[in-house]
Amino acid sequence: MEFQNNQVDTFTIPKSEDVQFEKLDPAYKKVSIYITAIIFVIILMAYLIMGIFVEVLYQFPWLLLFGVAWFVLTGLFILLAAKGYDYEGYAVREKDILYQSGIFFRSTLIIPFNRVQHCEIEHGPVDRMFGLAELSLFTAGGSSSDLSIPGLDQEKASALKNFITNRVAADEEE
Amino acid sequence: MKKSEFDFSVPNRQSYVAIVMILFKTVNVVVRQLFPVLVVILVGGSKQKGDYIIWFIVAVSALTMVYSIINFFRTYFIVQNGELILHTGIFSRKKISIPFARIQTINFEQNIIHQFFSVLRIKVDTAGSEKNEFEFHALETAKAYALRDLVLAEKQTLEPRESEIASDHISKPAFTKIMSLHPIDLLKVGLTENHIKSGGLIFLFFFWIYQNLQEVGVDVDEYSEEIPEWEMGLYSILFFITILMVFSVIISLVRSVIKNYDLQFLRSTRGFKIVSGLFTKREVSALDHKIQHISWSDNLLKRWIGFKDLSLNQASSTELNAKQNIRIPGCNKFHINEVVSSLFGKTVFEDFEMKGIDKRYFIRFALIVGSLLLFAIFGAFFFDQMDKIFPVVIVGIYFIVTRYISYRKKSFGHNHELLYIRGGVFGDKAEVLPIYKIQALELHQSPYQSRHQLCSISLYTASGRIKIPYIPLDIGKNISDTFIYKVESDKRKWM
Repeated sequence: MEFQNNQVDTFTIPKSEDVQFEKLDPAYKKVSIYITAIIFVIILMAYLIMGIFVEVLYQFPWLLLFGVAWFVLTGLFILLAAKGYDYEGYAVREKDILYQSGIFFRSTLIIPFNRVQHCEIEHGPVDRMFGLAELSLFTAGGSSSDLSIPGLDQEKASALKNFITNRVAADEEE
Repeated sequence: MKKSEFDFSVPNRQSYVAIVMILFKTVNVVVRQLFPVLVVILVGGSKQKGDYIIWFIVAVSALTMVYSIINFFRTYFIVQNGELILHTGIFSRKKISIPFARIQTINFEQNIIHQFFSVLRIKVDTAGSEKNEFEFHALETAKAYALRDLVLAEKQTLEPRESEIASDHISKPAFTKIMSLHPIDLLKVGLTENHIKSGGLIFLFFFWIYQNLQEVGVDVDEYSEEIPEWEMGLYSILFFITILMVFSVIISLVRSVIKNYDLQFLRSTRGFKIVSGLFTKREVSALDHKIQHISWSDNLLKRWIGFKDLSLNQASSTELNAKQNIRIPGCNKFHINEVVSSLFGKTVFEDFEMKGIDKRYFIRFALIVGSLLLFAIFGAFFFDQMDKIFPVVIVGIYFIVTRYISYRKKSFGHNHELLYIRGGVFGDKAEVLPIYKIQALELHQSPYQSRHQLCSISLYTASGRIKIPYIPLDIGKNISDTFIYKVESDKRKWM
C-alpha cells in the first residue's frame, strides 16, 4: 500500500460539537435513585445495629446529629443521582463513540473504533430487574480510558455491541 | 541461514547454573530479611524475641528453594511449528506456547554470576495483554543467542515489513552506534542526577531500620534518650545538611555508575538497543513500532553541561503500571535529533507553532493556596503559634512559585503527524507523541473552567496519559476533532 498523507482542509473535519447525544434509558434514572437509597438504608441499619452494642449511639446529641446528617446526605445524593441522569449521554458515529458525563465536572470521552481492544456487556442484579445492561469498551490506554455506558436497554446494548464488534473487525481486515 | 548447532526441537532445560542462581537468591532473600534482626543482635538487643523470626524466615526460604529446584527439573522448552513452547509447574503442569510472530523482544541480562559461568538471563516479551511471557534465570550464552537468531529469522520471513529493510532481512540486524557513555561522561551523569531523590532514599533507609528495630522489640526511643542533648544551633544544623548532601551525591553517583557503566545506545533497522551495567549487564531492546511516545528532560545541573535524559516509552504488554520506559541518560541534542528523525522522519521542532496555556492555570492555583495560607496565618495568630507558621508559609510560596514557572514553560504544538509538548519547572521537559498512537481522548471541564470557557485534554496512549491543561475551549475542541480525525483516518497500526 502506498503511504499517503494529504493535506486536510480543517473545515471538513467532523466536529464533535455538532453531535446529538442520546440519553440513557429512563429506567436507569430510577435504578440509580434506588441504588443510592439502598446504600443509605444500609448505612442507617448499620448505625442502628451498632447502637445495640454501643449505647452512646442512641443518646441525645449523637442520634440527632446522625439523623440530620443522614437526611441531608440521603436527599443530596438522591438529587445528584437523579440530576446526573440529565448530564449523561452517548453518541455513536461511523468511526467512534462519545460518552458525556458529570454534573459539575464535565467530561467527554472519545474512543475511535479502530482502537477498541474488546467490548463487554454486564448485567447487575438491579439492572436485570429493570431490563438494563452496561456496555464497556476497553482500549490499550489503561483503565481510565475505558468507556462504560450504564443504563442501556438490553436489546440496544447487544445491538450496539454487535455494531462495534463489526466495526472493529472491519478495521482489522483493512 | 546457518543451521545452528543447537537442536531446539527436543526439550531444552535451563543451564544447571540456574540452581546456583536459586541458591544465591535464597541466601540473598534470607540476608535481606534478617538484616534488621542482625542489627538488633549486634547492638545487643534482646535475642529471644528475634529468635522465632529467624527460624520462620529460614524455613520459608528453604521451602521456596526446594520448590524452585524441583521446578527447575520440571521446566523445559521446545521449538515446534514456529512456536516456542514452555512446560513448567510441579503440581499443576502448565504449557505456554508463544508463536514467533507474537514475540516482541528477547532481552538478555547478565550479572556477575552469569558472567562467571557464561550464561544469560533471558526474557521473552510478547504483544497483547495475556500474561504469557517467560523468563529463564540461566541459559548458556551461545544457546541463548542461537535461540534469538532463530526466532528473529523465522519472524522476519513470517512478516516481511516495509520494503526498504527487506533486502537485509536474512542477516542479523546491523547496529549503528548512536551514543556511548565514556568514563568522564558517566561521571558527569552521576554527578548531575537528582540528589534530592537520593537524600530521600537515605532518609527512607534509616526510617526502615528504625521500623524494623521496633518490630523486633527494640525500644529505639529509649536508646535515643541516652544520647546526650545536642545543642541544635545553626552550626550543627548546617553540619547535618552538609553531611546529608555529601552522602546524597555519593549515593546517586554510585547508583548511576552501577546502572549506566559502559552504556551503549545502538540503532538497528527496526529499533534501538541499550546495553549497560557494571555488575549486571543489561541488554534491552525497543522496537520502533512498540515505542508509543518519547520524552526528554534535564535539570539545572544537566542543562549546564548540555545533558538530557531520553526516555523511550513502550506499550506495556501486561498492565499499564508496569510501564516499560527505557531511560537513557547523558544524551545531547544531536543524539535526540537522531532518535527523533529515525523514529518520525526529519522533524524541526522550531517550526512548530507553539501555544501556551491559559494564565488561569496559575491564577486558580495561587488563589486556592494563597487563601489556605492566609487562613493558616490567621489561625496561628489566633492561637498564638506564629513561630510555627514560618515553614508552612515557605512551602506554600514554593508551590505557588513552581506553579508559576510551570505555567510559563508549558506550551504545545502539533503538525499533521506529531504532538509536541514542552514544560518543566527547574529543568526543561519535552514530550513527542505521534498523533495516530492515541488510544482515547477525553475533554474535561471543571466548574471553574466552564465559567471561563476553558478545558483540559487527556490523551490516553498505550504508554501512559499525556495531559494538556487549561486551554481555551474552542482550541480544545478543535484539537480533539483534529486528533480523532487523524487516528481514524490513519491506517497504520499503533503497534
